Amino acid sequence: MLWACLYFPQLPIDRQRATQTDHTPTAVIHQHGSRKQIMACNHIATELGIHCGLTLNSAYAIAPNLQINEYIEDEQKVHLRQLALWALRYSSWVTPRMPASILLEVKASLKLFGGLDSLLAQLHEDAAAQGLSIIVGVAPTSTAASLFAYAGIDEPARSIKAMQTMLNDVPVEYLTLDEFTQRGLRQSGIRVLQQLIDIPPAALTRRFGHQCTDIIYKINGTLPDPCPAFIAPDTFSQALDLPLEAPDTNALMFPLNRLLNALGGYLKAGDHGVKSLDIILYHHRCKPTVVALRFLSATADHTHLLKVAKERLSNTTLTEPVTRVKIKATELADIERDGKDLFQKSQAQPTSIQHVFDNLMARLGKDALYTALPDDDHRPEKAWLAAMLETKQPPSEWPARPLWLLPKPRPATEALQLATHPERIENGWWGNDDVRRDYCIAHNEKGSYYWVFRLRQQPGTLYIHGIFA
Amino acid sequence: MNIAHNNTIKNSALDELLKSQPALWRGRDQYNDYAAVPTGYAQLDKVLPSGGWGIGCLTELLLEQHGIGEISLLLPALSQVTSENQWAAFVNPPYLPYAPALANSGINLERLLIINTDNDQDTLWATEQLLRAGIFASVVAWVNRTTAQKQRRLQLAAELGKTWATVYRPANAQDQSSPAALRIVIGATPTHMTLNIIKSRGGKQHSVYIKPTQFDRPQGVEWPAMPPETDTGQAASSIAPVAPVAPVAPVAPVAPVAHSSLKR
Repeated sequence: MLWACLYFPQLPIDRQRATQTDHTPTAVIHQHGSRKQIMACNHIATELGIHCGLTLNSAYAIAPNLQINEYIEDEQKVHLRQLALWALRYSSWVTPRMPASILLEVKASLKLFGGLDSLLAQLHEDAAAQGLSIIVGVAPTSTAASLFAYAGIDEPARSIKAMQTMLNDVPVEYLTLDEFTQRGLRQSGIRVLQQLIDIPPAALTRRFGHQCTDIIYKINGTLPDPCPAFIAPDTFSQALDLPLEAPDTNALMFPLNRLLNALGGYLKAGDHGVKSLDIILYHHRCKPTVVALRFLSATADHTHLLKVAKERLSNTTLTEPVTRVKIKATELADIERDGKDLFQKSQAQPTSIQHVFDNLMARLGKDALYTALPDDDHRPEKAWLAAMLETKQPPSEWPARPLWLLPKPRPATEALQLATHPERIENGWWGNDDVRRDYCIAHNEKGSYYWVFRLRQQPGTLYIHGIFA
Repeated sequence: MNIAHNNTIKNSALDELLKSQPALWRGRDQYNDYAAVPTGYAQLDKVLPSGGWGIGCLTELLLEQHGIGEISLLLPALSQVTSENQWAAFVNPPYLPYAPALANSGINLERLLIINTDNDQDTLWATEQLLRAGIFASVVAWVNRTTAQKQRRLQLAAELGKTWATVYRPANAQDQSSPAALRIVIGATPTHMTLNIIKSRGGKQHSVYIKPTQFDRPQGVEWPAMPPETDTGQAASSIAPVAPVAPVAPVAPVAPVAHSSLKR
């Protein structure tokens, strides 16, 4: 087994950042004993000299304009859950661990991604796209992988042997031990893991309790470290509170990207595609705005989802600023895959027709696209129907018909010369739209040809119904 | 006609002579090997530099009035494209594209996507999307107001997607400059349709005349007959305020009958 531990040291702050262009120092604090301490801060605060573990008062002394947010454990849980969904695209065995790490079993995924290096590169790239800072520790045991990640060691340990040499220099303060044991280790002059391993286990247990010995055994793999696999729920519905109200839809793209990333991983894990998706925008006072995305065929492509959502949202006007974004997959379906030719030369694949349709429908509306089909009716208005990608045999050959039909016949305003004998169309007497007309082809002085008719009831007026274009 | 024919013979002799000189570079040659869809009208194919509607080129058709055969001009090429199961699209057609007539002309309607838009901005956007996608063999759009800059986007998108792109614009746009590879002003006289090629990349300015009889084949039906002068009776003369002119359409008298017997 090979474990990768994704550690998100700045998770609370990363998740709160609404825009990339943030110029105020921001920090997240948590209660530590009787004092409030900095838990995470953005890069502007770091530049000013604020770091983790600093008390709030000292931080205020450095940066009086520091913006603070309380750490909320439940929120962190939600964030971690979304990240776990996202991580499902890399491995089927995902374990989220509070407060801020996710363990992945990657050995089984190596072949799919083409080796550990390309998998890690992909991971870093995707995390960067979401604006997440991430440290990935890789080791044959899950405890060691976590330890590497917490200690900020990015170098992957591919074998037990490599792991053991790398472990020697890891400071003991990164071990997940309680405060009391940590202080004991510090006071005994034990700084790095090497020193701890060198102590005989029996002596170690006597001095610091079994906690310390257990962790060493877990690092080596002698003692199991159970990682229950995260199981994705059957439905997908995730929400994100915005730290600042978003006044327009542009500001929503950043949080939406995150939610769609989670959706992408979720779909990948279940081998599903999404056919319809609701984006629900909550407001302070009004009712939530629901933006529904419909896809012609199920898709799991995160970039395509984002593109369609972007197009759709840019056409949506907001009545009020948005405080919370939620996405809900309302219809999941299996993805239709077309078999790829094994020997096909790699060439730029043109965008699929479904993608084009989805994209157009997102901006122009669902009814803007259609294909026309002839129908079995002699009444000109009913001789065609709008269909979408439907197959129907054309009924028969028609006599001369205009290429353009006017949606509503209009009375002729100019002098027209009739060019044919009338063709009588009489139908629908049983219903409301009784048609009794004599159709002719007519042209004007300039040589434009029209399809005109006279009503049998009132033969005086000539109506134009079509244009021979 | 004869003079024009002689000219082409002279031109081809001149071409041969010029081609034998390897040191000579001619600007026109670089556009000659564009792929093209034959227009279906021999006299038009002859004067277009690539021998048809250029693939990867933007064609602008500037229209003086509707109802003169402006769509029939594209029908042979469109039916060829769609019957090969390739996609074609109409963006923002000015009226309802009438399915029975399109079916008559041999167009595979399942492969003709029709897109209605609300404004020119959406039309241009949708056209560009379709051209860029590279799936559509042909995209035809109707635009009222556009600029050379926007037309340039379409031209580039057509090149990128290797698509035959056609844009219909009002004839008064012919004075504006445009980066389109081919610009044709379509007009009509009572006896034929006139095509004035005002810009042709790699070609020359020309005028082409198409008689209405030539539309019979692309439209898939024979043009119905004119009623003989004696037969008009109460039908035609009482309504038409102008005096009857000479028959325009081909005359093949058919008895006045109900619609069903007009089918061939």
